[in-house]
Amino acid sequence: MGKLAAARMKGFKKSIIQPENFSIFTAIEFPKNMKHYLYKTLVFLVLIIVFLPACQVKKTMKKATEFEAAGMFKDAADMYFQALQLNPKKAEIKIDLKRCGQLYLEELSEEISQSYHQGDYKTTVYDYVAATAYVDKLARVGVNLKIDPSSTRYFEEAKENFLAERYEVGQKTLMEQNYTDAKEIFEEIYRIDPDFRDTKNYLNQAKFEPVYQDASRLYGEGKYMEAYQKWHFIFIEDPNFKNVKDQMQQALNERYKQGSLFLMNENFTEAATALGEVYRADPGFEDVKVLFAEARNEPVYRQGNSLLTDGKCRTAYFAFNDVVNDAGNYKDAVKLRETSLKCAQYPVAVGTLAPKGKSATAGEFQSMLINRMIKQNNLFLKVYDLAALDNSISQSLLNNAGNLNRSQLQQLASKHGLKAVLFCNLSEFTQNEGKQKKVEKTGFERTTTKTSTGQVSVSDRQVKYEEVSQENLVSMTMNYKLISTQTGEILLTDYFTEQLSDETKYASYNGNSTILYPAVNSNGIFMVDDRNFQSLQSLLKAPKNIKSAASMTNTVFETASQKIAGNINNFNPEK
Amino acid sequence: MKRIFYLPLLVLVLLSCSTSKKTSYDDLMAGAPEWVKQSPNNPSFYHGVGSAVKTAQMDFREKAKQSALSDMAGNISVNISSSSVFSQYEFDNKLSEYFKDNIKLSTQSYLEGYEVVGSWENAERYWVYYRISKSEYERIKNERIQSALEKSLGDFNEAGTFNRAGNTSEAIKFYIKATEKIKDFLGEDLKANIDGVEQPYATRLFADLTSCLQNIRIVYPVESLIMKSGQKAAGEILNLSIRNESGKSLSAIPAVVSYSYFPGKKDELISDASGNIRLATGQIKSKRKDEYISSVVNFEKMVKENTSDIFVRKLLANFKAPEYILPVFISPTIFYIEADEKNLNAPVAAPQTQPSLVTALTTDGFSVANVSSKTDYLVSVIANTSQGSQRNAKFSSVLTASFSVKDSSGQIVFSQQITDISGLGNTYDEAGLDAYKALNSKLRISVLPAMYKQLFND
Repeated sequence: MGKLAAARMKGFKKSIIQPENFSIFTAIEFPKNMKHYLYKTLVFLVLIIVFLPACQVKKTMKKATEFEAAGMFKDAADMYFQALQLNPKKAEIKIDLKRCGQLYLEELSEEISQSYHQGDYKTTVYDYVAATAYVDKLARVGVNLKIDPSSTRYFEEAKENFLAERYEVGQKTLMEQNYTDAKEIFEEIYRIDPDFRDTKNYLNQAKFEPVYQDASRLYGEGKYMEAYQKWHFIFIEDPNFKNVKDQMQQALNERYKQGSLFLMNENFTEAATALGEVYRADPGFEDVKVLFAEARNEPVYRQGNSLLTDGKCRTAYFAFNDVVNDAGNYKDAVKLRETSLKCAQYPVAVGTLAPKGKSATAGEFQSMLINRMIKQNNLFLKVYDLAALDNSISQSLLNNAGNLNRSQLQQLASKHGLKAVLFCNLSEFTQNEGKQKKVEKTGFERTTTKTSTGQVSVSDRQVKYEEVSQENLVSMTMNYKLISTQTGEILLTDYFTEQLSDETKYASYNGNSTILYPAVNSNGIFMVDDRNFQSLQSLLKAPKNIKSAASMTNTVFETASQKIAGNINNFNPEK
Repeated sequence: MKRIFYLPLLVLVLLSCSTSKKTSYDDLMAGAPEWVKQSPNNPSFYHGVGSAVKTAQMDFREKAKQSALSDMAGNISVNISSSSVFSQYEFDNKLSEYFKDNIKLSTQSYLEGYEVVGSWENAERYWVYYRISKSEYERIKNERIQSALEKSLGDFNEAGTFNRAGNTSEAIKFYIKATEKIKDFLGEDLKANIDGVEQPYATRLFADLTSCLQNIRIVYPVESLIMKSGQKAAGEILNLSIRNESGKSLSAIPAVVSYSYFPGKKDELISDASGNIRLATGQIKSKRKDEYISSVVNFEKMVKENTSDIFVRKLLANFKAPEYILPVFISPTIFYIEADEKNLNAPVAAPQTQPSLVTALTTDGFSVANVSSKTDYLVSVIANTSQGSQRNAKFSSVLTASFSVKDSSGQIVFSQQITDISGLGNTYDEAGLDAYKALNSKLRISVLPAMYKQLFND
């Protein structure tokens, strides 16, 4: 930063922004001289912004006049054109542009005449094309120029000669199979006169014949879809070019056969690729839709069957479900999906152990857990309350810290069809609703008055206010295990603790709290404590609410049940 | 202090953007003579007023002079006499318009005898005024006509002498030169005494030129030509002779030859000392039965070589030499097809590839014979199928084939093995026949084009 700028910055200080008189200069309070400086700069910049386009117009017009004086009408007209674009409403510029544009056009007309009389028909044609393009350009800005009728006459005749000559060269080039050059020639003719003789056909020949031949070569090499794409490209541009439509069908047919053969040889990946290409090109081609579906789904269907045989019913269900979603009732996929679902059912009974005297809390937790497990919408999971299903086994489970003997497990499996028991142990649970503590405090109300002479006097009045505080706490320790009823194996287990607490501390005063100051006791005399005024004000404004222990218990149970239900939902007994 | 910093800047900005005061038109034109303000209108004279912007970069006086002369030339009307050659000959309609344009353009360079009436200038422009009396202009013009006519007659007589001596090439050269001499006066009623008779000169000149051109004959060595499609003709060089009506060979006559079976191709040839030109007929790829070779005297070339004047070239482009046609009959290349086709090792009940090959070859302009004698090429297809795979009541068969072509001497000129063909069907037999369909497509799409390329360089 330069010295001057640094000096200017020195006087800055923060101020409170008042919305009613806010401006860029009041957002930051500047010193007075600095404010003037900025205003002037702003005015100067505005002037520049206002006058800059006008300056540009003036400059451009000056250049244009110089060009015009030197007889350089094209350059002059270009400058006027630029000026008009900067200031389209100024009639003078339009008049100047029209005059100069017309003079340039006359120059072009003279060149057209000269080239025509010299037999240089190409120049005549291109000069005329340039002249008409120029007329069109100026017409778009509302300046209408007129081309000399004799120029049009010269152009018409020169065009006939020039294009006839180019046409012959194009024909010869095409016969020699030099398609690139032929295309260029016929494109040139087409640009000048699209209806000249048989130009359109020759241009198509030059454009498409090499593509057609390339496609034929690819077909010969067995690259049917590449050939198809090339013929299709021609077909889009010119559907009647040679027998391009038949060739496309032929290419699709061969690729279709390739796909079918892959399918017959049970190479499903290649079959799906080939048939997919044909399907995308023409979904209605023969029975490609059916075969493509078969190529995609047959391997999945087969895998589903194999999984079902191996007892992996859940995975089999997903395989058959994929087939049904893709191809509807492919073979007996719907039926097999139902069979898989039935076989994949996983009934689980839940039992929860709680510390002494907390059985109600345990029940509360178990209800929440069961509810949460049901809400997972797991197709395979069926949830039961173990106590409701078999109270004696439930009691045994709780009394033996989650251990069941073989016969109990077998009973659960055979009698109730359960595949697993979920045992939850709420080993530690504390819910503490704290008591509200109130302490009476001495303070002062401070009143400030101003006399007519401008003197300020302060008076303090001793008062009483209260300081209130409270703390609530919930803590929980839990472990759970999922036990297989068939093997007694612990399939899933976890352990976690949760703790939540909340507290509140505030001051309460019935008078004007904004002028309330705390007091300090000095040798039995209360005095105003200026230093802790802000602390007291904060306490007076502090929130008085506190979360109840019951609501915190609910939160803790929500978290725990969500974790357990999520883990059970993600558990795949087949893995 | 700060004001001192801003004020000059502000003043500069405002000044640079302010519009300078323009001098009014009346101020500029104060004291201008009448001819500057309004075109002079004295009917005894042709007038020309020109002006130019005064700049240091260009010679504005010269520019104003050229502008004045151009103005004067533009005021001199160009009339075409009703007894001029334009009225006598059936020229292209645009020619007389072109002639008028051309005369206006050239008049300026021929202007003489004009006088400077005055000049005037103001701060921005310079004006100059020229004029020439109409009678003086006419006198000078008549002098130029007489002079041109005399020179042209000299060339005309020379042309006649060459023509009578059978030197047509030289005769045409002098007719062109004679035309060039009077090109500016073709709109006038030009009269000349020829063979003791006063007659319209330009009409006579063009009649003699036409007659001279019409008497050139291009003679082919044969009445017609028979060519094989896709092959070069047996006698691929033709000797044409150029003669006059008495049968005398004409040398140094350019001719242009075009070929209906090769659009765009043009051969420009010149007859040698014996009046002959040699022509290469080239390869024929046409699918039509009748084509032709066209030869015409390249009069355009003769004109271009003897005059650089565009108007004369344009004028003489109306004169056409006769076109001589040599009919070309296309005899298609003849193929014979023999096929040994088996399906699952058993001979097929009906021919599979032959009908498709016949269709493809005839569509491509060739002929297919029923007997193997007198054919150009023998196409041989040997194919067999074998069982492929089977699934869900669908069967596939695999086809292998060899395709070869022999020329009339028994030499193999093209061959291709085809191994990647399969067919599908409800039986292996049906699948084999389906494979033959695929073979036919392959032959048509890729094998035959490759064969044509090999055989005919197509």
